[in-house]
Amino acid sequence: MPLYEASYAEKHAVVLDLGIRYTKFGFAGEDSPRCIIPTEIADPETRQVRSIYSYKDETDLYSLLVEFIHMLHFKHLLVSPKDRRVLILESLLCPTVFRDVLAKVLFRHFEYTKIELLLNLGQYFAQDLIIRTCFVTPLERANKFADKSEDITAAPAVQYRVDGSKTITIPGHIRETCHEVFFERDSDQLSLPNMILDAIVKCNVDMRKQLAENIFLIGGSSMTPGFKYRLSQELNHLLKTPYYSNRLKINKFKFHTSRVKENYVGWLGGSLIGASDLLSVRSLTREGYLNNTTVPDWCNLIYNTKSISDSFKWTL
Amino acid sequence: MAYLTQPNYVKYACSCGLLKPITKMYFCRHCLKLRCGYCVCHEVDSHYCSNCLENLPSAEARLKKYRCANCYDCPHCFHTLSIRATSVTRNSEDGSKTASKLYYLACFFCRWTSRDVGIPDQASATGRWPERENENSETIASLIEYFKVLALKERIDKEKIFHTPRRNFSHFSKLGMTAALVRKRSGLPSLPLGRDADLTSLPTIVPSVASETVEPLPAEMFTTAPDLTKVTTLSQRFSQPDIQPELTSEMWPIHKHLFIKRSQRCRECEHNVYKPEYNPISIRFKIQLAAFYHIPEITLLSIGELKAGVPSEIVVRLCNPTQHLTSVDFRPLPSAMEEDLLWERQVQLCEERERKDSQRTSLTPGSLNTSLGSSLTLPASLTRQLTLYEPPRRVRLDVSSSVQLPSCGIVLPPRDDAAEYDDSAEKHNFQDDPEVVVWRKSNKAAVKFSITPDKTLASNEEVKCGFVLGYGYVNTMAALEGHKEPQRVELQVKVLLSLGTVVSDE
Repeated sequence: MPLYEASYAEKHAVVLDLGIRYTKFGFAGEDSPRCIIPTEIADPETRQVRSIYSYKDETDLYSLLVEFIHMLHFKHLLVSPKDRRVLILESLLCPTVFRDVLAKVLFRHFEYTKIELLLNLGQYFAQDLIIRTCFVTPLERANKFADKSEDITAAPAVQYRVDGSKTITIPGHIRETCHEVFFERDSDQLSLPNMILDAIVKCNVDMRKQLAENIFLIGGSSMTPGFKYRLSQELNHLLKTPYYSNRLKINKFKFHTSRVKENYVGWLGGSLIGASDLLSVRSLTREGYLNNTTVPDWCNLIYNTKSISDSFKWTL
Repeated sequence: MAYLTQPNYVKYACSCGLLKPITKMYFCRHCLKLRCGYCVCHEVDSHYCSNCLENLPSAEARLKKYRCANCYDCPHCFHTLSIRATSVTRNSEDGSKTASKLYYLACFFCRWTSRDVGIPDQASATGRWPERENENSETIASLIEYFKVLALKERIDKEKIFHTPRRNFSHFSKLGMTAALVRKRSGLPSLPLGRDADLTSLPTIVPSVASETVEPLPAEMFTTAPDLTKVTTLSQRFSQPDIQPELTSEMWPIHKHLFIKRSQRCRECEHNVYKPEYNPISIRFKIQLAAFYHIPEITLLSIGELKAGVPSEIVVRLCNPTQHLTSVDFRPLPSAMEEDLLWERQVQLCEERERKDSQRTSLTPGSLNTSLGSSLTLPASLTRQLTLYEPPRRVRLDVSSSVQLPSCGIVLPPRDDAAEYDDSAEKHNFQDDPEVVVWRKSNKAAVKFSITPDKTLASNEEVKCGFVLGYGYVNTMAALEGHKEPQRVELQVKVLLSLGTVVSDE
């Protein structure tokens, strides 16, 4: 009976995590994503493989996203997108253009019924969540075994084969230092450990100790060997500098260890929430989208003033 | 069809605004409009394994996570694995030796075998190969349960504020399904009855414990170079997202991913434009409304020398694929301003239709869903859904030459398969202008145009010309739907020809 089958099939919401490099895509309530694939697609006009994030303007992004999500559905997930619910995990700093176009693609082209945009990337069982928008260096593949520690003396070179015939020699110091970008201060005096400490400083005094003792690293880059060790070293070092020692009365940092691979922890958080009832309460429906034509966003004051926000959740 | 692999010299404008070759387009016989893969609705019809061609019903395929139970891919190079047999002699209890066969999986491309990673050989060829369990699945299942209860609690707390008087009222939908039944069917936990239902007891989960000590890197990391042949690449890792093996010795065979057969449906009238037969072995179609069966096909026959600002001649062949006599005529393309107006009107029409639709759906029982808030969640498929339409794009016809089109129409006789083999040239008494029609055979005719590439074109710049092709189409669907006579309609399509690059004067 098709009616029954349709209502039965509907329960699987789709969870989509469009990462800068890799996209994680699967069904809600499952323990791992169905696929982890590069966030890139052949341009429909020139047939050249491009990253989704290399878009020039809205129409360009629109066609890239249509192609990409079509490919995800019919090559990897093998289910029809029509009248499905989708849960999207996105960065806190996702550009508004991207959100709007994504909503348009999902509602208008693929006829999804509901979209939930999840801002907090997976509150798994940690209190502190670190959203790290890191860009993986192209050589990361070769350097995935590279280490992090501060003595830059040894670490032998690695022969890395490309296309079966060419060989690239990767010197030891590159293997060791390519992840330094996380720890070097940029012109705003910010590095990854700085950002973590600044975030803690901005929090309530009572929460600071809790936060510092519940650091949970997610994202593919944190899987690099030695990353956590180096980060803890850096944090402890920075804590001793006068700037932070005056502001923070923390003496130790504690890290959680993920049971699953860090690169899909964020997706898993989405999967957990997608399996629960929350999706039907807090999602943006087609009707809601048609009436407002904007996607609710934390940085939009319509949605993010305290008095309105509570009542607004209801109209959504 | 040789032109399948060639660059697309002749492109037609689809009703969604994209330019595509005729081989990639469909013609909806109900709306009488051109459709392409972009503007039709794709639907998954059936799942099958590309190796053993087993056809799996969708419910079964879903249970198997859309992977074939019997076929495997190589974890190293993703080629299909084959089953190989070896004969071994075994010493049985009474001392005699018996020969038996053992099977293992081998990749014939990269020579990977299941023995490399220590998977024991199997006694039967179709034997169940050992599966790896994800050790986290239990933890995650308990977490899912925890979050379900947590979300339910939050929701009930909210409903208490808004729907307190209605709490014990069971809503009946138009299908006679109670909210509880709908919830059960869509896999959600049932709402506890009564306002005092105890929700304080959350399922217990083991919280993760943070530790202060972080393992430093092992010392050999700085002294020995890793052996890249023993470490997996990223694509090898991501092919098994739940395990993500880091060493090649941990790679296990991957269940082969299923393929799908899909049907395509017109979004406007919801008729199928393309539907394959379910059986994966069959390559035929139940419905195939490809554009090249319905609209006149244009091919370039010859192109004169292209020089900037100098008139030149091109010859195109027109072919009538239908069983009915048709006539074609040529009109100039609308100017950029007219095109803008046309496009704006289409977008407006689209918005209007959406508005009408939303008014209509707000009166149907489907709206019960929204008006009652979240106390009654009907599955989307049981209610009439509001449809959002995708506005068409503006057709981008950037022509770089002017074209002098023949003023007269051309009649194309119906297609006759027998005529292909009949050399005794049949005589059609068409009053053709010899300046326009240069050649004619059965349902085909060659037409001559005069084009002038723009003066501003530099050498090696591409010359493109376009026109509006008007053609008569006999709508046989009307006859099926109850009208007596097949109706004849006049349709138009914009065509863009890529003629090649400008030759420099030297």
